[in-house]
Amino acid sequence: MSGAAWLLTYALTMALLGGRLVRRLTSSGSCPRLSILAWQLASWSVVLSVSVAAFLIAVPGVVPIDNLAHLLRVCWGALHEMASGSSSDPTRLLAALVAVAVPLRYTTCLFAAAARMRVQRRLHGDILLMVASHDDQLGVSVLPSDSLLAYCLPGRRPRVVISRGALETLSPEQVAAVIAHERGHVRQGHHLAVLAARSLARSFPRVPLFVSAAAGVRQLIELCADDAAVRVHGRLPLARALLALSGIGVPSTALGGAGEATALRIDRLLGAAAPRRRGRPGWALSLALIALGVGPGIALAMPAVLEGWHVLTYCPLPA
Amino acid sequence: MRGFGELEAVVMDHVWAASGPVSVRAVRDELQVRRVIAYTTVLTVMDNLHRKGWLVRHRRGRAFLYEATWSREEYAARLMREALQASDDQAAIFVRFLDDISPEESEALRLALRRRSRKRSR
Repeated sequence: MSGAAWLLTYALTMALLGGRLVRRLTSSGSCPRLSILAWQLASWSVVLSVSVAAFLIAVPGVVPIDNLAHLLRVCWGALHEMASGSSSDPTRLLAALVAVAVPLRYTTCLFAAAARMRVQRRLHGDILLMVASHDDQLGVSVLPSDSLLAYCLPGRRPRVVISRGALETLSPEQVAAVIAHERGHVRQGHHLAVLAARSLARSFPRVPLFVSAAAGVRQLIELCADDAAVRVHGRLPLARALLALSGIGVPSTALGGAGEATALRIDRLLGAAAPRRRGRPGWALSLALIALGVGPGIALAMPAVLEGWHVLTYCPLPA
Repeated sequence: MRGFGELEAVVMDHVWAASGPVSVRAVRDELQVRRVIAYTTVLTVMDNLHRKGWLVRHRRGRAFLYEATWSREEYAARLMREALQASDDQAAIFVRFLDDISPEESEALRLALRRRSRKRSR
């Protein structure tokens, strides 16, 4: 099999089965930041593999590459061939299309979504400026509502918003824990990770890995922010705040696994789950991260590896 | 313009606090208590707010009377609706502290927490 074929095999396997694998590795919630990295590496290795494979099929003479000038010359030659119609191989044409369309599709989706969200955030922020009062001591915007709500508005001018009802229900140290949690979101830029994962899932719908990655990243950012708050305020205030704010009086919008996700967060905080809470990843996760990082490279090198193996085992030694 | 935004917020505060439609002069007289401010500045701010849809106005004689399009509570409710919307994209816009769970699940969690803290304190 050619390098491109190996790459496509890898990509297909990861796209279909990778979600289950990464989910199993990250389900304990012991290293949320590395877990997010695992999802990102898995997703990106698939996108990269498909793009590179398509490129290799479209431009067959490109490997081995001597230098940039050689690469550009070969690409130009291939484009010229296809444009002039002298190349009658439909596979190459299709491959060229894929090689261009895949990155283009993702980039446009990403930028469109980013722009849309920036606008929505700004509009929301403008209303917030008028309607909410600012608590200078806590550094948060207070929403004049009795409901229990806390959220942050990330971006260029980040804001943490807490409803008056939440401020009155929680104790001061619980409020501090909630604020630290939201500030963790802002500081670590979680909205970008979610945006990237969601855009990937929307650019290439129904790919199981991308759908799982979007959901996985969404849950993991909460664990990351919980860890950030725990570092400063300890575990119990945050756990109690989670309970106190858990939806009493707020109309249930029936988010399916939300109860389980909350239970996992509270379990983590109380030390019932995740024995490795100091942040050292298990060997399985470490191995998986390395494998995902070099996976496409290995797939690409497979033909050379197999060729070398063949030479070693079948060629007779000189007499 | 940061300063302007603050002024807009202050003017809205006064409009919401008033019991009926207000004129520019009335708002400016209230603001004069705290700060030196020109009539034309207040006029510009309220005209801006009208253009942005925060205020509605109708003519009385030669001047306009302004009042808020919606109350502060209605705006707060709208903000909450936006933040509470259960869409997958929302986490990229707002990141909520907690997703909604049902009262039954909440009760179960409460019991679990009580059991755990009792276990830890032993």
